[in-house]
Amino acid sequence: MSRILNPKVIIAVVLVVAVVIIGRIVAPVPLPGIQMPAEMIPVLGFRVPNTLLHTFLADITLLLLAFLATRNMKEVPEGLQNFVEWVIEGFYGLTEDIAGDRARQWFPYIMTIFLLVMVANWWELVPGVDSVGVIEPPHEGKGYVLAKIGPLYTLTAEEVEVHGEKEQPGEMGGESGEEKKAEGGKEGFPTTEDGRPIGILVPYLRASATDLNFTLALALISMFLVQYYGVQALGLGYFGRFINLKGGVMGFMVGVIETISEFAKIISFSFRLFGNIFAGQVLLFIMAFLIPWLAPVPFYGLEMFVGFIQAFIFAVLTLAFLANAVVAHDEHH
Amino acid sequence: MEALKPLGINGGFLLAQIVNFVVLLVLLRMFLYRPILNMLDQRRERIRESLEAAERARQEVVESKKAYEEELARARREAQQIIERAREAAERQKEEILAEAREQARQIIARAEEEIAYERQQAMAQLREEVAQLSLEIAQKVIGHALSEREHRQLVHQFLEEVGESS
Repeated sequence: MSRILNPKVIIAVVLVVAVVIIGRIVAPVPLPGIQMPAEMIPVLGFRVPNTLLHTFLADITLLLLAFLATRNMKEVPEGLQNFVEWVIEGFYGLTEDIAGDRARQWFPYIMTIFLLVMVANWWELVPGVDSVGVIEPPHEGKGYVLAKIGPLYTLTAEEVEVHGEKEQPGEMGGESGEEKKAEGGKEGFPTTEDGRPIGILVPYLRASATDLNFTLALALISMFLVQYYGVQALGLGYFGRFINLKGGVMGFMVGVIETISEFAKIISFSFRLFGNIFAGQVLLFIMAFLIPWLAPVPFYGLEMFVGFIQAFIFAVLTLAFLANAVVAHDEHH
Repeated sequence: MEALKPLGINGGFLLAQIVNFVVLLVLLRMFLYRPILNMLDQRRERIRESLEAAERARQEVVESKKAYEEELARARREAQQIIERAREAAERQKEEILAEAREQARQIIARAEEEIAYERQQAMAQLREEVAQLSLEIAQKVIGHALSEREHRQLVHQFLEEVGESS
């Protein structure tokens, strides 16, 4: 009791509450409209999804890391080389535990899946991703009143309903992020009654895994590898697990279920990753909307963990399916 | 495929992501995994070699120490043998010298005894002669006439022998 009434504790609690309230008043954050498909960003005349740009960012990060880590390799490793070696050696050990002799063969796929997914997930947590982009006129429904800061526009938390121009029906307007700064925001925008422009933000970057194209692509690659190595190891006998005529009706049904589960794996692979990261992103939006200051911090920690664990699960599940595919079906009953 | 549109699934972007992954895979394989795994292998090999070299060196030290000790023991044994042999030789030599000395002494003594015996015989013979001569002369002077020398001599000898036997 006396511990809780300790003046230090009381001051800390009051300070936190004050910061939270001040944050809510001084810098309110809009709750963005949430949409599943990636938004298009014009790049060099093409309209490229921002999730694909985000994937390129992760690619560049990884290649830069690879370049820096292997640029000046030493027998006695230091700094970045040491760290990268630690990661790769650790993951290679894991691959070897599961894959045995095939570790060398499979390691690049597994490692690349892990690194790409994790780096892409973590980039989402960097300020600016999801919150810097192009201001566009709202398509339908919600829009935000824009405010000008220097040459840039930012969305305010003032939300307005917009009616009219139905460019792309079915696509909900509005987008993402905390403090939203963006270039553009010129004419052609609807305005409020007192003449302020209304717009939505289309971020340049959005976490790759919030786009089903990304997760489905990885899932397809993983399952393709599983089938490929299954056939490579067992020949046509690999398909014996799907079309099972020796085991009677029961065996045949098991084969049918195996076949279905093979396709279900693609779906579970892609939606597991998509769902976790998409939900994480929404969680961060909502926390920032409800309590803009302090409160989102622990959730960033949580999302870092989720980003790592989902990448790990994707990679290790692929590895486990691969290891399962190269073993003759009768042996592992 | 229309049903997938609200989900944002789009063949082109799906393909783009797949191509992106494959390219990244190839590049990372070339520029990250291969060099790092090679380096790890190389280091593992180096460590193995170092450990083996250390083990060899240790073995060599043990062996050379053993050899050294064997050599030392052998040298000691040899030294012992040499000393032993020398002592035996000295002993033998001493025995020989002593034996020789004894022999010589014996010979000297024997010779001396022989000489003494000879001298004595000589002296005895001379003395006998002289006594005979003397007693002959004395007897001539006393008796006044001479027995024939031959008879005389026979007489003296007879006498001397009696004396010799009784003495």
